[in-house]
Amino acid sequence: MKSGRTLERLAGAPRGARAPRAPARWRTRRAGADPWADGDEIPDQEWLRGPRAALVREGLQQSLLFPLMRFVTGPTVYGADDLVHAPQPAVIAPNHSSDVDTPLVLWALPRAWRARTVVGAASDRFYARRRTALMAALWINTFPFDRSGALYGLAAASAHLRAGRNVLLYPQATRTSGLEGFRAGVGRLCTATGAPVLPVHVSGTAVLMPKGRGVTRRGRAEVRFGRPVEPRPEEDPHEFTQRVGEAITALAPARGRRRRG
Amino acid sequence: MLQRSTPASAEHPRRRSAAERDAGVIEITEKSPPTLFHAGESFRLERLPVGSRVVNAPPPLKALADLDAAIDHALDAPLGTDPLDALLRSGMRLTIAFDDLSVPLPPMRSPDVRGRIIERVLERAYRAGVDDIHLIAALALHRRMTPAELRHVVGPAVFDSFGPDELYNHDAEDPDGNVSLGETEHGEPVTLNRRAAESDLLVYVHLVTAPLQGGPKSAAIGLGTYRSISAHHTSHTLRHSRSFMDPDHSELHHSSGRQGRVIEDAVETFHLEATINDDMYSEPLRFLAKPTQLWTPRDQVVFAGMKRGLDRMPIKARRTAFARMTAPFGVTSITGGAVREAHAVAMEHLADQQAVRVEGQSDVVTAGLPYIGPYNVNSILNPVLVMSLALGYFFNLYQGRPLVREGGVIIFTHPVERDFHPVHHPSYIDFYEEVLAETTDPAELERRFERDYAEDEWYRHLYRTSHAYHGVHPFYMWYWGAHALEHVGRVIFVGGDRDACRRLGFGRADTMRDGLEMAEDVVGRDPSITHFGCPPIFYCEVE
Repeated sequence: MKSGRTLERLAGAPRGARAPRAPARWRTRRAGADPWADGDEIPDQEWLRGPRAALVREGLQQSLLFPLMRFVTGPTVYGADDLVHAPQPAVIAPNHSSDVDTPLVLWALPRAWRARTVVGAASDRFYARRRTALMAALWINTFPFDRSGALYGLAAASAHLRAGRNVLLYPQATRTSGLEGFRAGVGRLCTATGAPVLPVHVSGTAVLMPKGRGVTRRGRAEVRFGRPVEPRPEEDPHEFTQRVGEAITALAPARGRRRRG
Repeated sequence: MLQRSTPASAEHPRRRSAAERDAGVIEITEKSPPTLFHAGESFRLERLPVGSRVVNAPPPLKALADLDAAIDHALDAPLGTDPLDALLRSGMRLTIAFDDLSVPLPPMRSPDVRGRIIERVLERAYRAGVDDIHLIAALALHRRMTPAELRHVVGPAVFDSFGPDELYNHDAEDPDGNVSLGETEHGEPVTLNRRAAESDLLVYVHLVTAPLQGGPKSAAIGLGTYRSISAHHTSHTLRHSRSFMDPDHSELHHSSGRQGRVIEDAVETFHLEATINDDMYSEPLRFLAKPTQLWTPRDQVVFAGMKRGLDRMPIKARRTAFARMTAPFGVTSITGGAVREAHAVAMEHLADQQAVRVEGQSDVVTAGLPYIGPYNVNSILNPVLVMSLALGYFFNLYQGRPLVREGGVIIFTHPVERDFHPVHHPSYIDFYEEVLAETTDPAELERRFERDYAEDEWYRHLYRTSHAYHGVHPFYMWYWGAHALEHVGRVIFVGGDRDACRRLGFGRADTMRDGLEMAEDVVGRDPSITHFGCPPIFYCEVE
């Protein structure tokens, strides 16, 4: 039995004897691991960063994304007015507990910041399929952030900073329930580029949209912006990461004052 | 700081290494799909016998995310020499040499990385107050690049800011434009472009796409003359370069390396080498780089439509369509510094992308030749270039031992049309008609004909003033395949033109099945068969 007859016929090969249909999957016998098994990563959709796409994005955000997000999270923002004095470009570093954090922080940012902010999206999650990559890039202006441990992700972020864009990166790397696990990536990026970090604390979103589930209920979320944290000359990335972690933790509201949804 | 252009370390291991690359090898079973063969400006789908091996090109590595930072890093933290800024000073003579359009294949989508590098070098030169700057396309005995081609390589900004007196092609036949730097310890003459030789600093910008390229031979050949190049481009040297893709075992590299050392002693050199991944097809043809069993139904429909269309198009239209193709190559590393140190690191990066480990040789090797080789960009792949691409390049893409055993058979798919570009390849026409009609033995044609062609005034005139390859170039192309001619028992072109294949001294067949039957006459029944799935370009480490 031979497979691939359909392809041969489509491609114009002479018709041979009547052959059975091609199987659903072509079988391969291979000497080692499949180097293509990781699949193709969708490249950065740079064209969605142009002025026209930005206009469409702003329209979509203001008309659909932000109203929906506000309806679900009932958010309160603290400290956004002070951002007018903060230096740009900067690394915007919120804690991360839910998928709703990104639109929430983007909405909370002043327009002058939001318009020049790109979001680092895990390439293994958001850039594995073309449709997801396009949607993420169109709605929240993402770029693929490789979190495999190599420096590709940080190098891409540093290119954005040099191009004058703010970069939203989660120092915890993934959605986490508490305020622990700050990774040194943001520290390395800022000590190498000299860009300041804007610490952001987001609370109340974990219960609205927990990891692995969709929106479960409405609630009340809070976004608090802190003062920018500048890397000191020759500062160790780990020390800087620790300072950023402390700055984010310091923004957390006192227990008694936390509003519940 | 966020760039990796130093050798791999425990902290930042290589993403892939040659040792993992058994993965590139698959075996044909009863249920395997047909195998893709390139065949000039078209493709063929061929059924290989069950049990045949297919060695595929590895998937493209991830490109550098921040190219500008990588270039700056290479200039600021070079290997084995001072940072570029420390070498630049006001009032100095600076020459920047770069490769011609024989790399990469197909040409890189704009902006070409060499242009990006040159821009950064120029920025620093201006900052240091250097104003005597020349840019030279180091094309050795290749044809002169057209202004549009130069513009593509260096980028429009650089092209527009330099006049024709400051941005030009190297002329290996200019009696006043080249100087002798003496001889190597083996008596090989060393000549160099005069401007480069009289410069205070020579910055060489290289794009390395195969282990053959880069390193000390760059300046020795790229900015050399017939006199210095003919020291190692001989049938004897090239027969003993096993292979060109393994510089440690290549006589060509040893000889040109000695010349390179003389040049480095005479001129201060800052060497820059960029490597790229093998992402040579843009959408919607990216699937062509994948093994056929990974093609989705959409890919299959696109391929079928494309093949049917190509088969119905006249050859000129096909050539035009293919010539328009540019590749979205991603840059995987930029390394700068002293020639040898920078080259060694670039070779590691290249091996990351291109080295595929293969166990054992085969009786028969099959491969599909594409429409393009290093010497026919925007031109025609004539029969002599087909020979050079097949036996010079494809055969030599190995380290260790050749993929085909001694006395084995290589089967290529290519139409081998007797068609020449009259402007680019004038000496090829005469070589084909006069020299190959007499003999195909590299040593004999070198002895009897080379000097006449190399010193022919008309070819020299065309090389210097038109866009023709040097008169001696077809000879070199033939020597390029000298090792393969000696090693292989028979060469068969499936779908090749009868007369052209006969002139080249090769067999031809209409179908792969016929070709394999012809091969059995040489290697016996039930031979072991390996398909070399190039392009995209890669090389085999045969154990």
